[in-house]
Amino acid sequence: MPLVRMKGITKHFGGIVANKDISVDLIPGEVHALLGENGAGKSTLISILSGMCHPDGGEIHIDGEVARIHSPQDAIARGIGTLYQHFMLWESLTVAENIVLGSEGHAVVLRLQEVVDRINHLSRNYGLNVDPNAYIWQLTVGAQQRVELIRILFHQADIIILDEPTAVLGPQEVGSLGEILKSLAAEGKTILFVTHKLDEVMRFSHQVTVLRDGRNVGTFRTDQVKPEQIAILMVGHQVPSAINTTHPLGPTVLEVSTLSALNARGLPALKQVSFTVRAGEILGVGGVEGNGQEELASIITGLWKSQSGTVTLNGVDITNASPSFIARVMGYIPSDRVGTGLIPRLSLALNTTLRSQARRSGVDRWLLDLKAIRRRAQDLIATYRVHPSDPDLPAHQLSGGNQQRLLIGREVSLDRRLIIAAQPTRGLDIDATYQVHQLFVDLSFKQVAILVVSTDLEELLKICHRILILSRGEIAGTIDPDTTDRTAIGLLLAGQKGDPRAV
Amino acid sequence: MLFSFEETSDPKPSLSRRLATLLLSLVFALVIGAVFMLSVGVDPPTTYLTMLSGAFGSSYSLSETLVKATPLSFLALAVLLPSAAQFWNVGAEGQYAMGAFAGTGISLFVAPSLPPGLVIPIMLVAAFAMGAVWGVIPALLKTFFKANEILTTLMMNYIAAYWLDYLVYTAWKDPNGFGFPGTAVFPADAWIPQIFGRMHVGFFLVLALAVVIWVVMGRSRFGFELKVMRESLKSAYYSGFPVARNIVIAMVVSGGAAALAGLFEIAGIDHRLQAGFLMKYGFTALIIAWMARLNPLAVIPVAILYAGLSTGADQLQLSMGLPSSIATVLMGIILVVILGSQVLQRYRVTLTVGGKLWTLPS
Ligand SMILES: Nc1ncnc2c1ncn2[C@@H]1O[C@H](COP(=O)(O)OP(=O)(O)OP(=O)(O)O)[C@@H](O)[C@H]1O
Ligand SMILES: [Mg+2]
Repeated sequence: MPLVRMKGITKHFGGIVANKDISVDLIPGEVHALLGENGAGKSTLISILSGMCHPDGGEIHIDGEVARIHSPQDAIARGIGTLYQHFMLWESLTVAENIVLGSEGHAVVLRLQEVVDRINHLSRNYGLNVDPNAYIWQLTVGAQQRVELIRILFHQADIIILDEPTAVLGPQEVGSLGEILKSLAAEGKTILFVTHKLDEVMRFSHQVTVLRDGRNVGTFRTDQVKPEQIAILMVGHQVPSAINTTHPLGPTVLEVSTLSALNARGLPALKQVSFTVRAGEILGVGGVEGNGQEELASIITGLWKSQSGTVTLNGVDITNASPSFIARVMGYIPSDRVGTGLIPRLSLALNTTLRSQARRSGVDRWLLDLKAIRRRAQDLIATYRVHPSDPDLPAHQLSGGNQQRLLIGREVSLDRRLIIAAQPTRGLDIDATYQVHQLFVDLSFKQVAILVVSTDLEELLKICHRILILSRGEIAGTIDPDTTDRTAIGLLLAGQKGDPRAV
Repeated sequence: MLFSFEETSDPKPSLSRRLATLLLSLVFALVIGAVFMLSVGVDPPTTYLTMLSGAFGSSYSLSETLVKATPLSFLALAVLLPSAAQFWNVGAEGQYAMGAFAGTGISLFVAPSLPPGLVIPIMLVAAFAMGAVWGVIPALLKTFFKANEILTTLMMNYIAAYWLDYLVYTAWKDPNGFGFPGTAVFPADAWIPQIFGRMHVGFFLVLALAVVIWVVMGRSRFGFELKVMRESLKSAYYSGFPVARNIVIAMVVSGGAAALAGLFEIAGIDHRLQAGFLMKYGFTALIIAWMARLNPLAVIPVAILYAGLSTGADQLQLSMGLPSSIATVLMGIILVVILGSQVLQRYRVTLTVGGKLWTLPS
């Protein structure tokens, strides 16, 4: 007997049909995976269920009766808890304080000690491993996510919805989140989660629904389908899994030597890090997020300052160079997609001009040449298959995956000899991920040097010539994807604690 | 009962929708104003008509309204340009004062030794430069020491105000002025010509400035960079934009524009610097800039409306013996209603009462 029945949910945004007559049933005690290409309508369906937006048609039934969910408060009152991709936590407060603040509006006045006790209780029950007295800034992304989960459980939600929860996690953390979801389901909770990873669907879900172009194209018992079937249903064709990366490498392009830096809190983030990237090489930087990867990318790209050590590009010292200089010499795909890489409220066309000072780009003169800007944007949108393709749309109306295509397309089209890419396929569907991988490999064949920072080790193994594992700001080891065997990689990663910064 | 707000999907409401909301909210404000007048025992139609004719009814009142609207427009533009990059210039008042100071200095001490045709151009340049310096100091403090510009610009207002006091009461006080705090009258070469009543060329200059700023903000690369800086400083750095330089440029123009307003007031209207010169225009300008929704072209009509209310209020006092504070209250009502109406432009508001829904705008 389903607890939640979505019947014929339809939602338009202007001319775009985001959800078309979608019906999905969620059964208590089960994990339901929601899958689909970028822009298929997954986030839209979730925001309808969590009261963030109103459907144009269709009904939601909870426990057999029609539920009118007009606001996030309505959703919470109905026992629906949502874990969004962007956490809503105050960094400078403790876990317990955050949870108290999130409870305002609930008639009860909570005493902090009671909250701490309840958090400890929930944490123990579900194996969440959260210290109520830790400050948010001390926690890894994975731990912050578990805090959000605790908050949801704290409000006694029976229905738990998660939008791409694993996108920000490394392999071990994905595994433990999956176990947590399964144990929550075993307790009788109803769980819906979005992912792009087929192996997660197979490992953690009981049922799976595939969306395509806003429609439900199939709901299955997970143990009765094969991942290949789902992939074909989702993107309409097979997605190749292997990429050929072997070709000769050129001279050194980027050289980082004995680089040390502090993070935003003044704690050591990088310690004596040295490596080189050669022309045509794809170098991976992996490891659990929060071990210096972000700082490394920011320093190379001029957005953060190092304490000591040097960075040279083609033999020229660019240590702590200004961002406006860096913008002219390398492409950079930041992990912070909307907020740094793209500006959500500006049009796609203007977003494509952000880093180009090139001639005839439309921004090289005193006055903007809006026609030239639009024309170039249309080319870029077509080449990188951004959808929807109207250059006048504001960037926030694109789905996450399409935003990333626009961003990557812009940086690649700058035609630089070095590209720094942080989490380049986070949130991309399998086909788009493959496209990005293929694009990077093609560029490396053209002797472009690429530095890829990613928490997704599988991704690095697939495309990189070498992989450095950063742990507590130091290079813990180097992996050669062709020769290093899996057990050695396992040992290297196992040497890392899941929560390096947790107290 | 429950209100819920959903952001409308089009981020830029159409012009007709914006004008319609503006008109509706003006009417709404006038109705609330009428209720207020009734409550203090004044007849709304006569009061409104008196104000209207006092503001725009004769060529004299029209020119007086434009005289008031000129500095307000300059100052509102001075607030608005740096705000495009989220730099809040609360110091227009001080920059205005420093423009007047520079103009006074030139006309009293330098003008006699200049060829007549050069006096006014040099006053313009000096005032602009003085205002630019006054505006750039907070910009530099912000970029080098991360000092909050709201505080620094605000505090520099006090320095400028006391400096003017010192000049009119002591240093530059007219020895033949029978003890009145103020400088001597400027030589005739330093008088900026009046055109229509007391209205002077400054009004046309501010019109031109509004158009230029509108083009710069909407179409130029500089304006685009400011827009990116407003949306996200991180993006601006990432894009390689010269963030500090842009703030400095914006504040040079902003401080300069505010200073020109000060110069036109003394050289076009008063022809001397006297005590009571500062009328808190700098703060009124903040309100005008916001009511104009930071649109440089909209600043002009809003400033004229504001100026009209205040000349109209003078008329209330003269012919009906009413306190001019009635107009202040009316202005406050208009402001709140217009700012409130902006919510309706950005959000779709749904009111739920017992299962029934009302949606605005539908
Ligand atoms: N606020 C909005 N305004 C206009 N269009 C929107 C809005 N939000 C989403 N869309 C459009 O609706 C469609 C579905 O978007 P949605 O975000 O639900 O996709 P998704 O399946 O979550 O994709 P992704 O995997 O990339 O996150 C897309 O075409 C998107 O451009
Ligand atoms: Mg999504």
